[in-house]
Amino acid sequence: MVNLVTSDNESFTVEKAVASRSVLIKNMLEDVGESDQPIPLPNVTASVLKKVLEYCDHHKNEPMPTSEDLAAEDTRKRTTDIGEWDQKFIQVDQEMLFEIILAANYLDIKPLLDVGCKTVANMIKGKTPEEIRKLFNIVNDFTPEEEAQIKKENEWAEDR
Amino acid sequence: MSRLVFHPSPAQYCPLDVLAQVFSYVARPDVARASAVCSTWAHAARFALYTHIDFDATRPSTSSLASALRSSTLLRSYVRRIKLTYASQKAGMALYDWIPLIPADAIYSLEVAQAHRNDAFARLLLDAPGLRAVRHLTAHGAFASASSVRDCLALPCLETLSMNFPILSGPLELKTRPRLRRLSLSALSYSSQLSELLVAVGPTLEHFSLHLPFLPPPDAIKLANTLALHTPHLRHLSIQTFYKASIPFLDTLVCHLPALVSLHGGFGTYSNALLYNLPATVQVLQLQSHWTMGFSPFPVEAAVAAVTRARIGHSRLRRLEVLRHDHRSELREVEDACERAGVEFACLSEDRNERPV
Repeated sequence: MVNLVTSDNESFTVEKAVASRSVLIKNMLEDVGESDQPIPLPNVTASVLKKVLEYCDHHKNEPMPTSEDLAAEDTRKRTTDIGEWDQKFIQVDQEMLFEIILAANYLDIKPLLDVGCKTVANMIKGKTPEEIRKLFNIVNDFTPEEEAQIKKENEWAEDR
Repeated sequence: MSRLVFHPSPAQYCPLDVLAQVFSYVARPDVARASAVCSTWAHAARFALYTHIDFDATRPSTSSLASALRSSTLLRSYVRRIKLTYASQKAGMALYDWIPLIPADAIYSLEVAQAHRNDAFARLLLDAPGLRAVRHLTAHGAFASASSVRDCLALPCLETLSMNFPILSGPLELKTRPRLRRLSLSALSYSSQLSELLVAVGPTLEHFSLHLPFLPPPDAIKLANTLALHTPHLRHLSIQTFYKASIPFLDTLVCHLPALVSLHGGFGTYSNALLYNLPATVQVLQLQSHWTMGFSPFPVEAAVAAVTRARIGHSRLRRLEVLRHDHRSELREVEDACERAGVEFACLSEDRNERPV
């Protein structure tokens, strides 16, 4: 078993196979060897880690993606298909969605990061900037001139 | 005061690589719209839109892309890779005037597809400071004169070159010794200038692919001698011919290439003997079997022998492909031998690869 401690000081005890879905944790465990020392995760809160561990537990018996798989993924035409269980899992509010993505990025859980990024991609398809801001609670930090400028410079990319 | 008021949205402060991954899943118009969301998203969107410029002169939006690049130093600073398609004199050199403005040494990969032969265009590319450090160059139709071929071979960081090799009247007279690792050429015929190029790049060359319509015996012998003498580190060799080559020069050439790992033999470039003498280092073997212009039966017995040697550990062969073979049933015996030996087998009838891209 592995002991993980979140930024808000909650501790989680999980199977090694579950925690090792995170390449970051897997490498840490390999570095320290057999030890009961808790592993601090200062960038992840308890509510997010709980969710992430739910994902890791569900996928614990799957083979880890190899570097060859990852290279193939890059060259293959990118699709935004998401598995059934993952789709249900990722139905969370927008803030939690981004928290999960940031945690997956930090903990280095590539398949979870992919699911999160694909979900965001599906949400922004066909939307205007204002709709995207509302959706994700983003503040428009442009001056009106800057906004006009950026719309103008990327105009060419709006037609296929 | 409520904590929520100052609580930053995680979407607003998302790392660049995460947003870049999100943008890789959506179409370009979606990225363009997302760029106007906030400054973090704008940076990630510029990264997605401008790192790799796909500049197709026939597309209606291209002139606005050109003017965006021409007018903004910031946008030009994102560019790392450029692909130019249908570059022609008709489109006007003005369409390309942003290329010389790119910061020095910024571009690592340049691809020119379907360009019209035009010396002014070649000069514009070869003189651009942004292109000085190009490592991967694909130039189909762009460099037609000896001087432009010479100048592109003088690019100091060039590792990969793929081009249509032009017909030249005089020698190349290379001033520098290019340190190419991969070279992929298509040419109308084998020439002394092509030999000259191979001798110059041979010492560092690992991949060589040549696409020719014909390879008459005298040319085949010259090519084989040049490769045998000058390319000691060659790992991947592909020789494709459109019409049957008249001598099986690969049969003996392979014995002079000690590092060879993969071999693609065009129609008529090999015989039974290649399969009987296949060096133990070769892991992937692709053989073009027959083509509508002629017919010769596939050397089934020799192939079975080669595969059997892999089974007993005398060679590292792990994949055998037979290309353009219309009678799969003839190959049943080879396929069975491959299965027994754990060698992958494929029989492909389409012309699917190896043209220099």
